[in-house]
Amino acid sequence: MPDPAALPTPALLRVPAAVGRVALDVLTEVGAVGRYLWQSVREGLRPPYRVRNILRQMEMLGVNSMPVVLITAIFTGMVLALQTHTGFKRFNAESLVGTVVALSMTRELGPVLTGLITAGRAGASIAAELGTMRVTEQIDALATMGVSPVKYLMVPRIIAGLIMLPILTIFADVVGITGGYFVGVEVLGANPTVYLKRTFDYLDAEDIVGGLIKAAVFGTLIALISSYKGFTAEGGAEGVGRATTGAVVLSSMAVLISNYFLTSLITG
Amino acid sequence: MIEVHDLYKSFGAKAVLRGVELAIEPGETMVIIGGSGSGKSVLIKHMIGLLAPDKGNVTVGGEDLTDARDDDLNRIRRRFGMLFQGAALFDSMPVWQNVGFALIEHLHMPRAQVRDAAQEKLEMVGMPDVLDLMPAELSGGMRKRVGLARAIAMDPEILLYDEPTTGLDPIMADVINRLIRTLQERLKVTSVVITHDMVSAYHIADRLAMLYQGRIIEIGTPHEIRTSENGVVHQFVTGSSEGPVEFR
Repeated sequence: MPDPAALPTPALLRVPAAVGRVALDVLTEVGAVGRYLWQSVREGLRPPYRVRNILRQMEMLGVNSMPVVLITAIFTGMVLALQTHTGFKRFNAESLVGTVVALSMTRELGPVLTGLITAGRAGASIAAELGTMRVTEQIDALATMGVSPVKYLMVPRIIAGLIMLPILTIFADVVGITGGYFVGVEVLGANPTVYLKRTFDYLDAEDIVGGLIKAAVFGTLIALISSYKGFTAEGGAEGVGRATTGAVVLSSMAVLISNYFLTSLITG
Repeated sequence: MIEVHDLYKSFGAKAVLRGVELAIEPGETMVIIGGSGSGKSVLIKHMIGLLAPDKGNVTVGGEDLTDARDDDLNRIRRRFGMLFQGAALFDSMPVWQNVGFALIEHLHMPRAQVRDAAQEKLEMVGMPDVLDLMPAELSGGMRKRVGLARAIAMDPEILLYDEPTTGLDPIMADVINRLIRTLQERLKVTSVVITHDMVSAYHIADRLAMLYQGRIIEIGTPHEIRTSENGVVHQFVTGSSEGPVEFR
């Protein structure tokens, strides 16, 4: 009997077949990432903990992303104040600009922008580094020396993502709110006392914590997906390039998609 | 020492290994020859558990690698040293850390002791003055020798060599061949070498095995392989493009 996969697809079935193939590819990829996550958790919980590796990754992923995150956050806070002011002026609600800036930054823009920036910057660098290690057989060399590549390379990056994204987000929140204050008070002429009061009156701890939880999930996803892409790179320099692009695209998508579900969970 | 039994491995639709049978005796140097893309690298990666077979098994000193748990596999792997084709040095670490990597990871040796041990292994491969260089500062032949020093760092029982002379000039290739021979004599290790370099193969082998179309088609001493009546073997070892070998 001929292999059914090798038979030509009838014209009518081409669209559903293509949809099926894409769905299968996506599920295969999600399954593979899930397996790596499970292995990372299992191996990460067992000693040795490789604190030095973790610190190095925290520096790479977190500290080095700080300048870009801060610049993005301050200008986002500033533009948010300008836009909100323009809109709210139409129904005399200018005094609520501070509230909107604070809630938007802590609940949404702080974690999501930090996530997207990290996905671009650190995601690409993780995938390129691990991808190069894969195609030059350095990952195989680790394994032949009896050292688990997942534990040695992937676990420290995931822990760094989990810890550093919330920290970056705290900075983004503070700087964004400060940017909004600057525009609100200095440019648009709001009363500083009223602006500050409005900023903090409606800001609850759970707004901030909810944002930080999202950031921790984003950090884990970015490090996990980018490491996975690096680990599975194949075919020399071109393969490393593909892995890097894939890591940035996939982890940005993961940030945006998971953001919806996390938000509905947290606000639900 | 290493027994490969009925090994099958496919990648997608491409069947690479199709029933490999091979037994490697303790202390011998087995050279596996075969054309590019014949599956030599795939075979050697099964011997150290980097790839899992579709069917069949590999045992090392009686222990089956195929169904070993991760911990057991890591323990068995510590009996091996492997020299990779491009040396696979960790490019984020200086030479001494590369050579001493397993000593740091498994024996938790202090830095000074690791440097001494690395120096000793580097002297064995004729590279006494490179402890603090980074891999990017080394030439191809130097990288191979550092890779070899790393492979012998834990005094392994078995050494695997993936194309040890590929990409080297003839003089450096001879240096590596002599080094492999010397290490065998000094360390009494079991060695498996894959190569398509026949000069190297004859120089270092106790026995040779030819891999062709996913199977071992002939095993013998260098003399037996040189005088083989099998057309494929004869064509390969004489390096002729005319004969029964299918190539693309």
